[in-house]
Amino acid sequence: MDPMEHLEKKYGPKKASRINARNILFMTSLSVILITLGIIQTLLFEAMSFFSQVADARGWFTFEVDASGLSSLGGISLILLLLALAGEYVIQFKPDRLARADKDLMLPPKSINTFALLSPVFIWLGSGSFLVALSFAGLIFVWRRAGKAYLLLSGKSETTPDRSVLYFLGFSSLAVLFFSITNNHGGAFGEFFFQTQWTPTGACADRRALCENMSFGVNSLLLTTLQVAFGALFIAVPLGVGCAIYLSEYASPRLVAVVKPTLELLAGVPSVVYGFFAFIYIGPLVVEVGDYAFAQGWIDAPPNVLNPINGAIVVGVMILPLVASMSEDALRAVPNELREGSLALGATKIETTFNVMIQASLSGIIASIILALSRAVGETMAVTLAVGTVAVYTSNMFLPAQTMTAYIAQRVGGDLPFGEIGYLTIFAVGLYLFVITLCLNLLGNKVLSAYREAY
Amino acid sequence: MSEEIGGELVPNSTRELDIDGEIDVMIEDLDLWYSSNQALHGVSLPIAKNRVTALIGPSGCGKSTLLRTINRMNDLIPICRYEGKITKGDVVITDKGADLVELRKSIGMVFQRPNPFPKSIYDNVAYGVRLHHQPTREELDRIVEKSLNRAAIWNEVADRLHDLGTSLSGGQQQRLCIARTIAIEPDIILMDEPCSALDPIATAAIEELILELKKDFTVVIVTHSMSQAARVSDYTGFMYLGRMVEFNKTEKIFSEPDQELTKRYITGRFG
Amino acid sequence: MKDIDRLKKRNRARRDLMERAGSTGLALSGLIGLLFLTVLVWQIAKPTFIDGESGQIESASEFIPVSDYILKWDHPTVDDNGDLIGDAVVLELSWNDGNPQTHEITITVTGERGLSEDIIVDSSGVSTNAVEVGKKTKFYLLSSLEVPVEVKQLSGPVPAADPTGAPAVGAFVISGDVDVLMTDGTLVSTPLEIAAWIALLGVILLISVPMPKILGRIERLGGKERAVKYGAYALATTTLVVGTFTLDAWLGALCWFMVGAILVRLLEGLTRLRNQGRDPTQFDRLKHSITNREGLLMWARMLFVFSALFIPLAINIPFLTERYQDIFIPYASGIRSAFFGTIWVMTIAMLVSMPISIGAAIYLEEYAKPTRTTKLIQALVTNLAGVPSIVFGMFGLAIFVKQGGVGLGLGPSILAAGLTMGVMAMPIIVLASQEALRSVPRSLRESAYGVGCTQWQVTRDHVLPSAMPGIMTGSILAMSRIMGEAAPLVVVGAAALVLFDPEPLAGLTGGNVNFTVIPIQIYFWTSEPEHAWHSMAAAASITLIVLLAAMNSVAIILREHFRRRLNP
Repeated sequence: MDPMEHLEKKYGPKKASRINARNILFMTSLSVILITLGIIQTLLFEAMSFFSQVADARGWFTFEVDASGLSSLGGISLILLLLALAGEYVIQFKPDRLARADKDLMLPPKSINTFALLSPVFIWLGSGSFLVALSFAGLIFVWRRAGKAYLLLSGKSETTPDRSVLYFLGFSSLAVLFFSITNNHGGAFGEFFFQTQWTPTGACADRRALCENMSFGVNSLLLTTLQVAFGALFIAVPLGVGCAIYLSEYASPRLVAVVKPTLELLAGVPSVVYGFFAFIYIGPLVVEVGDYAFAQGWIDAPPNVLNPINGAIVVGVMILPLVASMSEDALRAVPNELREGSLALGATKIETTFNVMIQASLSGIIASIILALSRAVGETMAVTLAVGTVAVYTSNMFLPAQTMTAYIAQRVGGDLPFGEIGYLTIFAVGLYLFVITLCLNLLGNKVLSAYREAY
Repeated sequence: MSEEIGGELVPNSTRELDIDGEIDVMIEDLDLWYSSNQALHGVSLPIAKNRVTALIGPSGCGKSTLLRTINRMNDLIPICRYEGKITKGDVVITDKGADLVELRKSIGMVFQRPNPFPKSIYDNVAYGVRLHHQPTREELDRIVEKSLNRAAIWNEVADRLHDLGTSLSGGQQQRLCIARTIAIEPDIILMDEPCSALDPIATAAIEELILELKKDFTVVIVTHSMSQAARVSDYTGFMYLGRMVEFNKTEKIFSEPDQELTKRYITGRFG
Repeated sequence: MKDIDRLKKRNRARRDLMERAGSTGLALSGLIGLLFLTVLVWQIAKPTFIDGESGQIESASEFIPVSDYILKWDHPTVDDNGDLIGDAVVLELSWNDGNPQTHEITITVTGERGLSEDIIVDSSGVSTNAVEVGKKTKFYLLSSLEVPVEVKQLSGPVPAADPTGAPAVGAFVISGDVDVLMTDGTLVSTPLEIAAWIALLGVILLISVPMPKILGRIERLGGKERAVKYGAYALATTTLVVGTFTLDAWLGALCWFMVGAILVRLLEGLTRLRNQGRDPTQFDRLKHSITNREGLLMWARMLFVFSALFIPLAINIPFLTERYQDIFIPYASGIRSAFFGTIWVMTIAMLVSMPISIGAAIYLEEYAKPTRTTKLIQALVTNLAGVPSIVFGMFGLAIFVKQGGVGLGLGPSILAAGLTMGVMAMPIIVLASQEALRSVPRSLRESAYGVGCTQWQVTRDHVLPSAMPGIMTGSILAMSRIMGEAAPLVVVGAAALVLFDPEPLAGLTGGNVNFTVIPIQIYFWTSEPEHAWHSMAAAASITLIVLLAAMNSVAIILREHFRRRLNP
């Protein structure tokens, strides 16, 4: 007898599955869309009712452009940045104009070059403004790029378009413009996006209603958030990337077997534990440094245990494993042939690492930095415990301040009746936070996928 | 000296050969292990100056391993260790204290897969020069042009020197890698199956280039194509199971080999 | 001479120096990360195990630099009922402002609350030599002197001490007893549960170490696989009923199931060996047949270890499972409500997120064609994984907690918290599962299609089993990540003080919705001003880290097991 026939006799004919698995599975994946829409809808809905409530009292937007901010040092740095932007534009889009430039200007002698590279430091010491020095450094940087491009032009070639510097300069001029005209706009949107006073609990007769004493300039929260996030990068990027390079290029397999799980463990420690750590250990350390700075007269107020530096350090430690492991993956993905090719030319290991490996894995490393930045911006518990609960707009990083996430966590900690103005503020802040991190994530993932395609 | 392995008599040639002219590198009794697997068994080989030496043999016979030992690239593999002696003039290459930077500078290498750095064509060629020297801009321009010319690729890339090296075609990339290697003017160029990833036309270009390079450099080439070995090389070594079965002038190997095994291999009866 | 030798050479010594300096610097950067971890662990362990141990203020000396010094007296000597025990506290104050003085102050602690009297120190001396302060009261030492004042405790009880003067809480904040098999002369579990555990041990030993005699005896059962199977089921049911459905009983029943499954597999293997005319002592083949499918042996071992924590042992850690928060005596507090809150929140989050996310991952990897919708969903998932956790909390607040509008009105309850956490875990699990599904080789799918499987059959029978370890690992890691997450729950409304066991369904059925979880407890305890609470926060942190490390190691063990199995 045919074996199939035998089976059919025994068990009956094979039944086709009645459930259409495909549709059920499609439903589950739709839930992701629903969640995302839900998040956006919630945030938008509540944030818009916040803005409309404020607008009822103060109007939507009032233009009171006051250029007083521009006449100060902010204006100077803006001009420097715009000059740099123009230079970069010429490099990118009108290289033929560059070819006509003066040769001595483009390729100066070495002494002038060195002086130019050092000049931002002198400007910093002279003018006392870090921003102006930074913008001047940007200008010098673009000038040197122009020199390089000039060289390339003499080699009869076209420059490959690399717009990142252009975007960066454009973004920073916008940021400088933004911060120098800050505080000069009114209305619901103008107040939220351009002012720096954040006092959402004014002393009002009726707690639930909006009143004149309240002020919703989110920039004080934003500034602290950025201070913490970039401070964290300042710690995590050198250490994390250094650690990644060491693990992928130098360390013996046995060492990697010890260090990698340790990094995973470090990544697995909950953020509230880091917050506790910052509160009892890092804070007092920072205060000691701050006391010294105060005694020297570098800062104008005595330091507090809760401060953005404390937060920056602890968030830096938190994102360190993320930067390290993602950068290590990027470095490991570089084909071994490149490493061997460089070594076979007689390069030492460190020369190979810095000239070839980093260049080959650069976009992977940059993606890790961007995603780490997004994580640092969205970090909540550690920051709440480490930075404090006073929303201030100050460059003194030794004083208590409040980040966007910390504001949300602290505000909802008390009982917060739905629909009242305090409840609505957290959604306005949350929406802003969501948009910032979403942009960072989109950028990071785009860089990452571009990098994955390369190898 | 012969050994029976798997029912097969594998001879191991260690005899000194008469080589016209100077010996550039001498390999003597080289044993090599990957952890506990022995990959090379007492290999000896003289490499003649300004000649092309080809290494042939079936896959896994140790020819690439032998090649990588000459500029100590095998040191990068942690599980690899070796015994024996390789000398280049007065320098003992296998010496523990040998200066790897100088060694690799004087013994260049071209890999199986073209591996240009993710830099511009110009920077790819200038990379090695910048590592070891501090050339002025004009000197560097001259070296880059000369190297690209010698690698027979100048005409194709002269107008796009600042494009990425990875944007070239496979054959061009391989010639770029050769240009990169000869820019620092090594004495010896090791080529590890340089044509295995290329099409026939690119292969022909590279083979022509090898014959050209012979005037200035000593070339050692590993190849799995016997016809290629016959076309480009002056000396040929046949390897099998980690042993140097026979080494001789190329015409001799391909016309009347001494060993039965070699004969069977070049007539295509195994491997 | 070659052309190139005419160029100026780079300094070789400098290149070598760069090499050494560079590699050292890179190694240092890695070390700093490790250093941070060490300091972190030390800082958390110190208050848990060291401050708690000394418990006693041993003639503490403290210098008071300026005026207005507050001496906080957090936890005077009271017993569990709040009654006063022990002697008065005697402090010695001394200072030297040109006229050296030493004073003794007797502080009597009374049972009353809120009673306090300040002591004022000035150049003429102290305002009083004897004060009465209430339980849990701060009293202030106010100094108007320009010089530091040294404070020494001469005598007096330690915080929360028992009548003998030893700390009432025991040596450590976290401490516990372990009883093996017997506690106070009775078995810790029902005999059936212990028998199940021992049977599981026996079966594991049988597979791990060859014992031909016993194998021969088992072989005689051949052909009675069904009887063995149903026997195991019956035993499991009995165990459950006798053990009144406690955790022990469930574990015992699982042990019986596992024993039955392994025995059946063993019998099948023996039959196969006999049919092939082989000796049953050819043990490797037999072992192969049991271990290689579904990793039965590994599951058995994991179940064995896990049930070893509950069936043969009576582990009693009061901090974890018995004590609620004590508002007045920090060292007598525990995290019972937070511990159970965490378990419930995790359970609900897992039940919600795992089916949906794994389904979504399967759809995206196996079914979806690269249309615009699919790409959109993919982009949403990828970016949703990077959204700050607190935003998920706000989503939960508006959708699950709030009443009216789109809100479900569950209140700040476990259910709302679990749903929020589930939503947060979804993108992480989807991404991990997709990664796992993608790593299943194409050839496996093609060969399954080749024998005529439908797409669902291919997915169910071939792709999913191969991808399961990756999916499990990803899910466990996602769970461990949300377990340590406090931010969304702060927004959802976890309470600072919960003095009862949480009710998981209170959001639906009414009842008390208040709940808390361990990270929240740490957050609120850290925010307390008194140092004793920080010790408690440290203890809770240690607990949380141990729990997380346990979960992560399970994930790592799973991953390694299956990696070895798939690429032997």
